[in-house]
Amino acid sequence: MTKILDIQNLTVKFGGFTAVDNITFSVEKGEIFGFLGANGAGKTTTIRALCGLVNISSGNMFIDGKDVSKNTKKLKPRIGYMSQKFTLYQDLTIKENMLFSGALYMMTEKEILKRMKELFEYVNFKESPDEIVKSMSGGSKQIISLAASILHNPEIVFLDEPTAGISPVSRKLFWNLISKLSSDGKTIFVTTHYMDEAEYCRRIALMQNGRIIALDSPQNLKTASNASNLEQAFINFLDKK
Amino acid sequence: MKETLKKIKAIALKEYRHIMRDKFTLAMGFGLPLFLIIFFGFIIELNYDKISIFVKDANPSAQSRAFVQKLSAGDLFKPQYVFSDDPVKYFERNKTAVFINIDRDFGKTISYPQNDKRPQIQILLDGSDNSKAGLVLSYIPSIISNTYAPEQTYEIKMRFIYNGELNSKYFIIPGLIVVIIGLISILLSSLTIAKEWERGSMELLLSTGISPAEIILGKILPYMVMSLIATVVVFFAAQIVFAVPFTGSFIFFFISCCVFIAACLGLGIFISVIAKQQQLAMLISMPVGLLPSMLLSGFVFPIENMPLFFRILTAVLPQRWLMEICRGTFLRSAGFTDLIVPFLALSCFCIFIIILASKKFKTDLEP
Repeated sequence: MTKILDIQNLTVKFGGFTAVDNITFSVEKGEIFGFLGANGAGKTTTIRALCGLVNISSGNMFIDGKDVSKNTKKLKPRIGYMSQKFTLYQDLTIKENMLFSGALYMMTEKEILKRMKELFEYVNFKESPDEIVKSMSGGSKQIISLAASILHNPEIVFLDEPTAGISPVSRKLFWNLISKLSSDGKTIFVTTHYMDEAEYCRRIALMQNGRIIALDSPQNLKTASNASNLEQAFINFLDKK
Repeated sequence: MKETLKKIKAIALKEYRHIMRDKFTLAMGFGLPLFLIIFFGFIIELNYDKISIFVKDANPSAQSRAFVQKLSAGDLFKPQYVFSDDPVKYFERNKTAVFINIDRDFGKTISYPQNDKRPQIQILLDGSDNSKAGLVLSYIPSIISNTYAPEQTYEIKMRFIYNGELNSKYFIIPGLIVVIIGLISILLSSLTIAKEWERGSMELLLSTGISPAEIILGKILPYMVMSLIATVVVFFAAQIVFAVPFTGSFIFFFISCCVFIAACLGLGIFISVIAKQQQLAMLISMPVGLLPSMLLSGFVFPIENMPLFFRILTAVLPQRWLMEICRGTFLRSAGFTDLIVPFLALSCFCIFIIILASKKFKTDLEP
């Protein structure tokens, strides 16, 4: 397996506050990599740093061997990023949002519409593309956001709490799509609060106060902490600290 | 280059869709300019007519009546006789600003000049309205000399060129077009970047690797079209409602407007980039859009009479330069060669502000 993400001693400070504190880890190509931790643990900041959206204080980040800080502009088209906030336009239709996102990644209208159709069919998404986004349910919005972020077929997909606040049925569909992307060779970097979702990940990093306190496969984490399930495993890890 | 154009086009198209779905923006873009030009066009009036004059004639004579008669010729003055000789009473109640006291021996002394007594008229003016007072002061002596010394050896004939009737509308309306278009352009664009920050969509934009300049140019385009349509609306309103003549090159005027609008949109976007919040951006853009163009652009107050510091300050205002182009093309049939300096100044400002906005554009999400 080749390392597609390599993070060395990454530190991000906002004024006096250290959001990410000297973390080092790597992610392999095609892996589903989970990031867990409480709100404010530094998950979002790590993702944003990798996407070139915050200035880092020290450390190095490499995507496919290329330094992120130096090649931000070249690397961005190879990345898909879904923020935990809804970042599409509420006053546009689904189709208009997709056309806009796709065009920024140099896709033609035909390519965009074809890809949109495929993605929506895969997750069995039934809303009309000509519907204005504003009136839709949270679950639908999440699916549209995901579709927009993977429209351009990126090699690495960063998903920041993609399933927060959506129904169990939608979550199942969501994870089907994520698994499919992974089996297509895409690397998935996902943060979540749900333990059952964490089980889908090949490896999980547990973050607390800007640091990674545990990183391994779900099975190994359970074994290492003598826990029967992941939730208990995390409680044990957090207690130890 | 091809990529840049495609990104700019994508932003422009998206922005166009926002505009078409937003009634507030549409109303502001088209309704407000029309409302402003008609509203301000009617209320800003620098011409006086029918200035009331109270005349106290102590001993009416043919000669004094002839004088009062002369006053009422034309529309400028409206004399009326009163019997009280206490002008203060009229001034205090704001009944009139001009009070003329005609001496009881006026008729006699003017017909039969005597060495020890000359004909006398007292003119009392309310100095609290000094523009009116000044006007009266400059007119009345000529009326007097006209009435009593009709045979002169020479004659001065004055003629105003470009604005023959010295109609203040012809002076105000072209300036008003500049003020309105500037205000609308700054207001419209000042919300756009702040809106992206507030709604979180800036995160999406930045994650795609689009550059600030691409975002700014993409946003300027649709608003440019909108402001140009507003310009045409205001232009024809000026022609139809106020019958202001347009004597210069329409193409030059139109191109200048394009540059001016781009400059103002750039300024609005700069405000938006700095403010990052819609409310704050609105609060900043109102005074920035309105005050300098009212006070420092030469719209009403002549730039030549300002202290040196303010004269230099006006040079950085796009409104000041379009004001020159506008008055030149409307009234003086001036063309590109006559107005090359304002045109270049406008172009420089436009390029400068767009580059500045791009440089100040924050491309990270740091809180």
